[in-house]
Amino acid sequence: MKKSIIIIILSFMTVLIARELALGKVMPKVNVSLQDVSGGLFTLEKLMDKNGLLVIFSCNTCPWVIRWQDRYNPIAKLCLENDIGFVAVNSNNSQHDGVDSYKAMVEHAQEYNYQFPYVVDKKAELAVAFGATKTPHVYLFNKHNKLVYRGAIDDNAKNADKVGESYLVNAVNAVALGEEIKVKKTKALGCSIKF
Amino acid sequence: MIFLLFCGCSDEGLELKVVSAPEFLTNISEIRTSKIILVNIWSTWCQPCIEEFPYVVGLEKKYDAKDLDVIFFSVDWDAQEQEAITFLKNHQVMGQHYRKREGDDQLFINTFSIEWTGAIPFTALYGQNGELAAQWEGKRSESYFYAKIDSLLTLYGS
Repeated sequence: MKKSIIIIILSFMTVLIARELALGKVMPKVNVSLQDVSGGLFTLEKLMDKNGLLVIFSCNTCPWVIRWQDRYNPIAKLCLENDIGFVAVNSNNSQHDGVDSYKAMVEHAQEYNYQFPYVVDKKAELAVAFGATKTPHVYLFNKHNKLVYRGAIDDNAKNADKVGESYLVNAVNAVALGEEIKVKKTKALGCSIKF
Repeated sequence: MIFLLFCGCSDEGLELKVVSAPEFLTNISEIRTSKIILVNIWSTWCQPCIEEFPYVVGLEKKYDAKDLDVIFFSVDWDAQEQEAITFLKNHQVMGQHYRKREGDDQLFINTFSIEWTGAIPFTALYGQNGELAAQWEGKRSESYFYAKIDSLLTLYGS
Protein backbone atom coordinates (compact mmCIF):
# COMPACT_ATOMS: atom_id res chain seq x y z
CA MET A 1 0.00 0.00 0.00
CA LYS A 2 2.72 2.40 1.04
CA LYS A 3 4.67 1.56 -2.10
CA SER A 4 1.68 2.25 -4.33
CA ILE A 5 1.13 5.61 -2.63
CA ILE A 6 4.73 6.56 -3.29
CA ILE A 7 4.34 5.53 -6.95
CA ILE A 8 1.21 7.67 -7.22
CA ILE A 9 3.02 10.61 -5.67
CA LEU A 10 5.98 10.25 -7.98
CA SER A 11 3.73 9.96 -11.02
CA PHE A 12 1.98 13.14 -9.92
CA MET A 13 5.22 15.07 -9.66
CA THR A 14 5.30 17.58 -12.43
CA VAL A 15 8.22 19.37 -13.92
CA LEU A 16 7.24 22.22 -16.15
CA ILE A 17 10.56 23.48 -17.24
CA ALA A 18 11.79 23.92 -20.79
CA ARG A 19 14.30 21.40 -22.01
CA GLU A 20 17.55 23.12 -22.81
CA LEU A 21 19.45 22.07 -25.92
CA ALA A 22 21.66 19.15 -24.96
CA LEU A 23 25.42 19.30 -25.21
CA GLY A 24 26.65 17.88 -28.49
CA LYS A 25 23.51 18.92 -30.37
CA VAL A 26 23.77 20.85 -33.63
CA MET A 27 22.79 24.53 -33.59
CA PRO A 28 19.10 24.85 -34.46
CA LYS A 29 17.31 27.56 -36.46
CA VAL A 30 20.45 28.63 -38.30
CA ASN A 31 18.52 30.25 -41.15
CA VAL A 32 16.07 32.42 -39.21
CA SER A 33 16.40 36.06 -40.28
CA LEU A 34 17.48 38.27 -37.41
CA GLN A 35 17.49 42.06 -37.55
CA ASP A 36 20.51 43.62 -35.88
CA VAL A 37 20.57 46.99 -34.11
CA SER A 38 22.80 48.25 -36.94
CA GLY A 39 19.87 47.72 -39.31
CA GLY A 40 21.50 44.73 -40.99
CA LEU A 41 20.03 41.26 -41.29
CA PHE A 42 21.83 38.19 -40.02
CA THR A 43 21.25 34.50 -39.55
CA LEU A 44 23.11 32.29 -37.08
CA GLU A 45 24.71 30.61 -40.09
CA LYS A 46 26.12 33.96 -41.23
CA LEU A 47 27.29 34.81 -37.71
CA MET A 48 29.14 31.52 -37.32
CA ASP A 49 32.90 32.01 -37.59
CA LYS A 50 35.71 29.54 -38.37
CA ASN A 51 35.91 28.20 -34.80
CA GLY A 52 32.31 28.53 -33.65
CA LEU A 53 29.60 30.85 -32.41
CA LEU A 54 28.61 32.19 -29.01
CA VAL A 55 24.91 32.98 -28.58
CA ILE A 56 23.79 34.97 -25.53
CA PHE A 57 20.08 35.40 -24.88
CA SER A 58 19.85 38.89 -23.47
CA CYS A 59 17.53 41.88 -23.15
CA ASN A 60 17.43 45.57 -22.24
CA THR A 61 16.24 45.71 -18.66
CA CYS A 62 17.01 42.57 -16.66
CA PRO A 63 19.16 43.52 -13.65
CA TRP A 64 21.30 40.44 -14.13
CA VAL A 65 21.99 41.48 -17.74
CA ILE A 66 22.74 45.02 -16.60
CA ARG A 67 25.28 43.71 -14.10
CA TRP A 68 26.85 41.12 -16.39
CA GLN A 69 26.97 43.13 -19.58
CA ASP A 70 30.25 44.86 -18.63
CA ARG A 71 31.72 41.48 -19.61
CA TYR A 72 29.98 41.32 -23.01
CA ASN A 73 32.48 43.48 -24.95
CA PRO A 74 35.63 41.82 -23.53
CA ILE A 75 34.19 38.37 -24.28
CA ALA A 76 33.11 39.48 -27.77
CA LYS A 77 36.69 40.70 -28.32
CA LEU A 78 38.08 37.40 -27.09
CA CYS A 79 35.75 35.59 -29.49
CA LEU A 80 36.77 37.84 -32.39
CA GLU A 81 40.46 37.23 -31.69
CA ASN A 82 39.80 33.50 -31.77
CA ASP A 83 37.57 33.35 -34.87
CA ILE A 84 34.43 32.66 -32.87
CA GLY A 85 31.28 34.58 -33.72
CA PHE A 86 29.35 36.43 -30.98
CA VAL A 87 25.72 37.48 -30.96
CA ALA A 88 23.30 38.72 -28.31
CA VAL A 89 19.69 37.73 -29.00
CA ASN A 90 16.60 39.45 -27.64
CA SER A 91 13.74 36.91 -27.50
CA ASN A 92 11.41 38.82 -25.15
CA ASN A 93 8.76 38.89 -27.84
CA SER A 94 5.91 39.82 -25.50
CA GLN A 95 7.85 43.01 -24.78
CA HIS A 96 8.93 43.80 -28.32
CA ASP A 97 6.32 46.56 -28.37
CA GLY A 98 7.64 48.01 -25.11
CA VAL A 99 10.89 47.97 -23.16
CA ASP A 100 12.46 45.48 -25.56
CA SER A 101 11.35 47.16 -28.77
CA TYR A 102 13.80 47.39 -31.65
CA LYS A 103 14.19 51.13 -30.99
CA ALA A 104 14.91 50.44 -27.31
CA MET A 105 17.43 47.78 -28.32
CA VAL A 106 19.22 50.25 -30.59
CA GLU A 107 19.37 52.81 -27.77
CA HIS A 108 20.51 50.17 -25.29
CA ALA A 109 23.31 48.99 -27.59
CA GLN A 110 24.45 52.59 -28.09
CA GLU A 111 24.29 53.42 -24.38
CA TYR A 112 26.39 50.41 -23.43
CA ASN A 113 28.63 50.61 -26.51
CA TYR A 114 27.89 47.09 -27.70
CA GLN A 115 30.67 46.00 -30.06
CA PHE A 116 28.79 42.98 -31.41
CA PRO A 117 25.51 42.14 -33.15
CA TYR A 118 22.42 42.48 -30.95
CA VAL A 119 19.50 40.96 -32.82
CA VAL A 120 15.73 40.56 -32.48
CA ASP A 121 14.29 37.06 -32.28
CA LYS A 122 10.86 38.27 -33.38
CA LYS A 123 8.86 35.12 -32.74
CA ALA A 124 11.19 33.81 -30.03
CA GLU A 125 11.94 30.90 -32.36
CA LEU A 126 15.57 30.73 -31.28
CA ALA A 127 14.76 30.80 -27.57
CA VAL A 128 12.24 27.99 -27.98
CA ALA A 129 14.56 25.89 -30.13
CA PHE A 130 17.50 26.39 -27.75
CA GLY A 131 15.34 25.84 -24.66
CA ALA A 132 16.58 29.19 -23.38
CA THR A 133 14.60 30.34 -20.34
CA LYS A 134 16.31 33.42 -19.01
CA THR A 135 18.60 36.34 -19.59
CA PRO A 136 21.50 36.07 -19.76
CA HIS A 137 21.60 32.48 -20.98
CA VAL A 138 24.68 31.39 -22.89
CA TYR A 139 25.18 28.76 -25.62
CA LEU A 140 28.63 28.17 -27.15
CA PHE A 141 29.02 26.11 -30.33
CA ASN A 142 32.30 24.76 -31.68
CA LYS A 143 33.60 24.73 -35.26
CA HIS A 144 31.54 21.62 -35.96
CA ASN A 145 28.43 23.61 -35.06
CA LYS A 146 27.86 21.51 -31.93
CA LEU A 147 26.91 22.80 -28.49
CA VAL A 148 29.91 22.54 -26.19
CA TYR A 149 29.03 24.92 -23.32
CA ARG A 150 25.73 26.08 -21.86
CA GLY A 151 24.75 28.24 -18.91
CA ALA A 152 26.25 31.20 -17.12
CA ILE A 153 28.90 33.78 -17.98
CA ASP A 154 30.70 33.42 -14.65
CA ASP A 155 29.94 33.03 -10.96
CA ASN A 156 29.53 36.69 -9.99
CA ALA A 157 26.98 38.85 -11.76
CA LYS A 158 27.43 41.75 -9.38
CA ASN A 159 31.14 42.30 -9.60
CA ALA A 160 33.49 41.39 -12.43
CA ASP A 161 36.49 41.96 -10.14
CA LYS A 162 35.29 39.28 -7.73
CA VAL A 163 34.67 36.50 -10.21
CA GLY A 164 35.96 33.17 -8.98
CA GLU A 165 35.20 31.03 -12.01
CA SER A 166 35.12 32.55 -15.51
CA TYR A 167 33.15 29.67 -17.00
CA LEU A 168 32.51 31.23 -20.39
CA VAL A 169 35.99 32.70 -20.94
CA ASN A 170 37.48 29.31 -20.07
CA ALA A 171 35.10 27.60 -22.50
CA VAL A 172 35.90 30.07 -25.30
CA ASN A 173 39.63 29.61 -24.74
CA ALA A 174 39.24 25.84 -24.83
CA VAL A 175 37.21 25.98 -28.06
CA ALA A 176 39.81 28.26 -29.64
CA LEU A 177 42.54 25.77 -28.78
CA GLY A 178 40.43 22.79 -29.77
CA GLU A 179 40.66 21.46 -26.23
CA GLU A 180 38.11 19.77 -24.00
CA ILE A 181 36.05 22.20 -21.91
CA LYS A 182 36.35 21.31 -18.23
CA VAL A 183 33.05 22.80 -17.02
CA LYS A 184 30.46 22.33 -19.77
CA LYS A 185 27.23 23.22 -17.96
CA THR A 186 26.60 25.86 -15.32
CA LYS A 187 23.63 27.70 -13.84
CA ALA A 188 22.91 31.16 -12.54
CA LEU A 189 19.79 33.10 -11.63
CA GLY A 190 18.29 35.24 -14.36
CA CYS A 191 15.14 36.97 -15.60
CA SER A 192 12.59 34.80 -17.38
CA ILE A 193 12.43 35.27 -21.13
CA LYS A 194 9.10 37.01 -21.77
CA PHE A 195 7.43 34.80 -24.36
CA MET B 1 1.75 30.69 8.12
CA ILE B 2 4.98 29.87 9.83
CA PHE B 3 5.56 32.61 12.36
CA LEU B 4 8.64 34.23 13.73
CA LEU B 5 10.88 31.42 14.82
CA PHE B 6 14.26 32.70 13.76
CA CYS B 7 16.39 35.76 14.18
CA GLY B 8 16.58 37.97 11.10
CA CYS B 9 15.30 41.23 9.69
CA SER B 10 12.02 41.64 11.56
CA ASP B 11 9.62 44.40 10.70
CA GLU B 12 6.13 44.57 12.23
CA GLY B 13 5.24 40.90 12.11
CA LEU B 14 7.24 40.18 8.99
CA GLU B 15 10.62 38.54 9.10
CA LEU B 16 12.88 38.15 6.10
CA LYS B 17 15.52 35.64 7.11
CA VAL B 18 18.70 35.50 5.04
CA VAL B 19 19.62 31.89 4.34
CA SER B 20 21.30 29.52 1.91
CA ALA B 21 19.11 26.98 0.13
CA PRO B 22 20.27 24.02 2.27
CA GLU B 23 19.55 26.00 5.46
CA PHE B 24 16.13 26.90 4.16
CA LEU B 25 15.14 23.35 3.26
CA THR B 26 16.30 22.11 6.66
CA ASN B 27 14.28 24.86 8.36
CA ILE B 28 11.03 24.17 6.56
CA SER B 29 11.23 20.43 7.14
CA GLU B 30 11.65 21.11 10.85
CA ILE B 31 8.88 23.66 11.32
CA ARG B 32 6.23 22.55 8.83
CA THR B 33 2.64 22.63 10.06
CA SER B 34 0.74 22.15 6.80
CA LYS B 35 0.29 19.32 4.32
CA ILE B 36 1.70 21.34 1.46
CA ILE B 37 4.33 24.04 1.48
CA LEU B 38 4.41 26.31 -1.55
CA VAL B 39 7.71 28.13 -2.04
CA ASN B 40 7.65 31.03 -4.49
CA ILE B 41 11.08 32.36 -5.48
CA TRP B 42 10.86 35.95 -6.65
CA SER B 43 12.55 39.35 -6.65
CA THR B 44 11.39 42.94 -6.57
CA TRP B 45 12.87 43.59 -10.01
CA CYS B 46 11.18 40.62 -11.68
CA GLN B 47 8.06 41.78 -13.52
CA PRO B 48 6.44 38.33 -13.96
CA CYS B 49 7.04 37.69 -10.23
CA ILE B 50 5.28 40.94 -9.35
CA GLU B 51 2.40 40.14 -11.69
CA GLU B 52 1.64 36.77 -10.10
CA PHE B 53 2.41 37.91 -6.55
CA PRO B 54 -1.11 39.11 -5.54
CA TYR B 55 -2.80 35.81 -6.27
CA VAL B 56 0.03 33.79 -4.74
CA VAL B 57 -0.45 35.84 -1.56
CA GLY B 58 -4.18 35.18 -1.81
CA LEU B 59 -3.71 31.39 -1.78
CA GLU B 60 -3.34 31.32 1.98
CA LYS B 61 -6.75 32.91 2.43
CA LYS B 62 -8.34 30.30 0.16
CA TYR B 63 -6.91 27.25 1.90
CA ASP B 64 -6.95 26.01 5.47
CA ALA B 65 -3.68 26.61 7.31
CA LYS B 66 -3.46 22.86 7.94
CA ASP B 67 -3.43 22.31 4.17
CA LEU B 68 -1.21 25.01 2.73
CA ASP B 69 1.60 27.27 3.82
CA VAL B 70 2.96 29.84 1.36
CA ILE B 71 6.56 30.93 1.74
CA PHE B 72 8.12 33.70 -0.29
CA PHE B 73 11.83 33.43 -1.01
CA SER B 74 13.39 36.60 -2.37
CA VAL B 75 16.56 36.50 -4.45
CA ASP B 76 17.04 40.25 -4.16
CA TRP B 77 20.58 41.33 -3.39
CA ASP B 78 21.56 42.84 -0.02
CA ALA B 79 21.13 46.37 -1.37
CA GLN B 80 17.47 45.64 -2.19
CA GLU B 81 16.56 44.14 1.19
CA GLN B 82 14.46 47.08 2.36
CA GLU B 83 12.76 47.21 -1.02
CA ALA B 84 11.82 43.54 -0.64
CA ILE B 85 10.46 44.12 2.88
CA THR B 86 8.43 47.11 1.74
CA PHE B 87 7.03 45.11 -1.17
CA LEU B 88 5.99 42.24 1.12
CA LYS B 89 4.40 44.64 3.61
CA ASN B 90 2.52 46.40 0.84
CA HIS B 91 1.01 43.02 -0.05
CA GLN B 92 0.11 42.33 3.60
CA VAL B 93 2.56 39.43 3.79
CA MET B 94 3.33 38.55 7.41
CA GLY B 95 5.36 35.95 9.28
CA GLN B 96 8.52 34.14 8.31
CA HIS B 97 9.85 34.51 4.81
CA TYR B 98 13.30 34.30 3.32
CA ARG B 99 15.94 36.02 1.23
CA LYS B 100 18.84 34.32 -0.51
CA ARG B 101 22.26 34.78 0.98
CA GLU B 102 24.35 36.36 -1.77
CA GLY B 103 26.71 34.17 -3.76
CA ASP B 104 26.76 30.63 -5.17
CA ASP B 105 23.72 30.74 -7.43
CA GLN B 106 24.49 27.31 -8.77
CA LEU B 107 24.31 25.60 -5.37
CA PHE B 108 21.15 27.57 -4.62
CA ILE B 109 19.43 26.52 -7.84
CA ASN B 110 20.48 22.88 -7.75
CA THR B 111 19.55 22.49 -4.09
CA PHE B 112 15.99 23.46 -4.94
CA SER B 113 15.89 21.44 -8.13
CA ILE B 114 18.32 19.96 -10.59
CA GLU B 115 15.67 20.66 -13.26
CA TRP B 116 15.44 24.40 -12.55
CA THR B 117 17.42 26.48 -15.05
CA GLY B 118 17.60 29.53 -12.76
CA ALA B 119 14.85 31.66 -14.32
CA ILE B 120 12.46 33.37 -11.91
CA PRO B 121 9.74 33.24 -10.77
CA PHE B 122 10.18 29.64 -9.69
CA THR B 123 7.54 27.78 -7.66
CA ALA B 124 7.94 24.52 -5.79
CA LEU B 125 5.29 22.49 -3.95
CA TYR B 126 6.52 20.25 -1.17
CA GLY B 127 4.16 17.44 -0.19
CA GLN B 128 3.31 16.05 3.20
CA ASN B 129 6.34 13.78 3.28
CA GLY B 130 8.61 16.67 2.39
CA GLU B 131 8.98 15.49 -1.21
CA LEU B 132 9.18 17.96 -4.08
CA ALA B 133 5.76 17.22 -5.57
CA ALA B 134 5.58 19.84 -8.33
CA GLN B 135 7.72 22.62 -9.71
CA TRP B 136 7.55 25.16 -12.49
CA GLU B 137 9.46 28.22 -13.62
CA GLY B 138 7.96 31.33 -15.09
CA LYS B 139 4.67 33.08 -14.32
CA ARG B 140 1.49 30.98 -14.18
CA SER B 141 -2.19 31.87 -13.90
CA GLU B 142 -4.10 31.83 -10.62
CA SER B 143 -6.14 28.84 -11.81
CA TYR B 144 -2.95 26.96 -12.52
CA PHE B 145 -1.86 27.35 -8.89
CA TYR B 146 -5.27 26.17 -7.68
CA ALA B 147 -5.22 23.14 -9.96
CA LYS B 148 -1.81 22.02 -8.74
CA ILE B 149 -2.62 22.54 -5.06
CA ASP B 150 -6.07 20.91 -5.33
CA SER B 151 -4.61 17.87 -7.08
CA LEU B 152 -2.07 17.39 -4.34
CA LEU B 153 -4.62 17.85 -1.57
CA THR B 154 -6.87 15.31 -3.25
CA LEU B 155 -3.96 12.92 -3.33
CA TYR B 156 -3.45 13.45 0.39
CA GLY B 157 -7.14 12.89 1.09
CA SER B 158 -7.94 16.41 2.21
